[in-house]
Amino acid sequence: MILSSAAPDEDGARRARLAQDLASTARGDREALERIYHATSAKLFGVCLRILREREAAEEVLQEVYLVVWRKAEQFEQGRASPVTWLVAIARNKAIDRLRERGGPRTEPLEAAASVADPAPRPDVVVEASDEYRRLSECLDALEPRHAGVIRTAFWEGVTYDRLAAREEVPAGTLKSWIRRGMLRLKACLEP
Amino acid sequence: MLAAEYVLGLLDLAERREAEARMRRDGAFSAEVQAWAERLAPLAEDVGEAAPSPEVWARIARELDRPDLAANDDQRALRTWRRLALGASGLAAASLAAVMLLLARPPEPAAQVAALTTPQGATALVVAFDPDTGALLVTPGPGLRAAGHTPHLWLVNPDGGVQLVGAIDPAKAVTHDLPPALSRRAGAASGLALSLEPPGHRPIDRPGGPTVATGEFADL
Repeated sequence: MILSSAAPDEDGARRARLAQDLASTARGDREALERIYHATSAKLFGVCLRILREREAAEEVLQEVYLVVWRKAEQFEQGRASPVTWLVAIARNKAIDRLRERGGPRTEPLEAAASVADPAPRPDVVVEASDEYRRLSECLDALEPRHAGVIRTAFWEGVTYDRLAAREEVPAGTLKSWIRRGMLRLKACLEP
Repeated sequence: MLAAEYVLGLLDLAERREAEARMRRDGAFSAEVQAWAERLAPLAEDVGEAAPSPEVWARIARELDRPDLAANDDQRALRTWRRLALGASGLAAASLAAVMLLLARPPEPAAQVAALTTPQGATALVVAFDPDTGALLVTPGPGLRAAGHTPHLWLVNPDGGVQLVGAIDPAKAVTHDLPPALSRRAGAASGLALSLEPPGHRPIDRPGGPTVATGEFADL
């Protein structure tokens, strides 16, 4: 995994700069949008690639994401939300929408695989995870493995209950109760 | 759990649209969705970074020049007006003359602004409408006393009939994107009215409660 290993104050400074640039973007400042792009496009592209598994579509979605940021920067709640969380959510939503338009996850032919930068977790890279990541991981690990698994799958695959239930080979009702129970426990675990 | 399911992407299209509509009207639900997005967001840290092609930014930059996006300068101006108007002077500044001063330039095409006032002269609602984008900016005012009722905004047609725009959040300013047909009606409306609907009542073609404020659009 490639994760930020920044010290908390560096992280805070980065966050503040992004928030500031979002505020400027909301006022129509193009250079601010460009700064946001350069600061975040690698991460957001990684997200799009992970979901779409295809470079061209991922780049198209990435473009759309920054146009959404351009139009809706004003909706980012300054002082409340984390800029990266907001951006990642936009990217993930757009990518999932695109995935759904396309008709669902595609299985890539082997020869195309090499052209896709692999955004999957890489265990060989030494990482320092953020506090939030560590906390969420711990809480997910505290769930039944199958429950945690479907939550992660749902997050990345963007499939509806019915399709996920089919893939997991369980009735939709069972899957729903796994997810709901898992999410409730996750919420309780994350709230101190 | 709907908020969590929405964030996870588990809902089908119809359910998603419903959840999105609910987010627009229900601040608490919207906050719940936000909370779930924040809880789950660290999962995205799991993904590696990847460099997009250099052309991607160039394409984005070109798109920013497109007329329909440039028109968002008008929406930006309207939002700036809202922020300024809601600032120190509250909605006192939202008299039409004040709005004209606050805007750096009149938006192109002409936006329309209406202050809906009570019989006592208090401003209950300020509505700014951009006919080109269909954006309707609704800002509650000090004269709005909802007291458990749900305010609803109506267009008054030239022939005297009324057309429902929708329920209004009395607690905060909201921009609504009107669908084309309603946007056309709004452009042609001779006035606006605000009714207070009994709790749980959803009016269709006429108010079910008292009309508490009225106003007319004026061009800027």
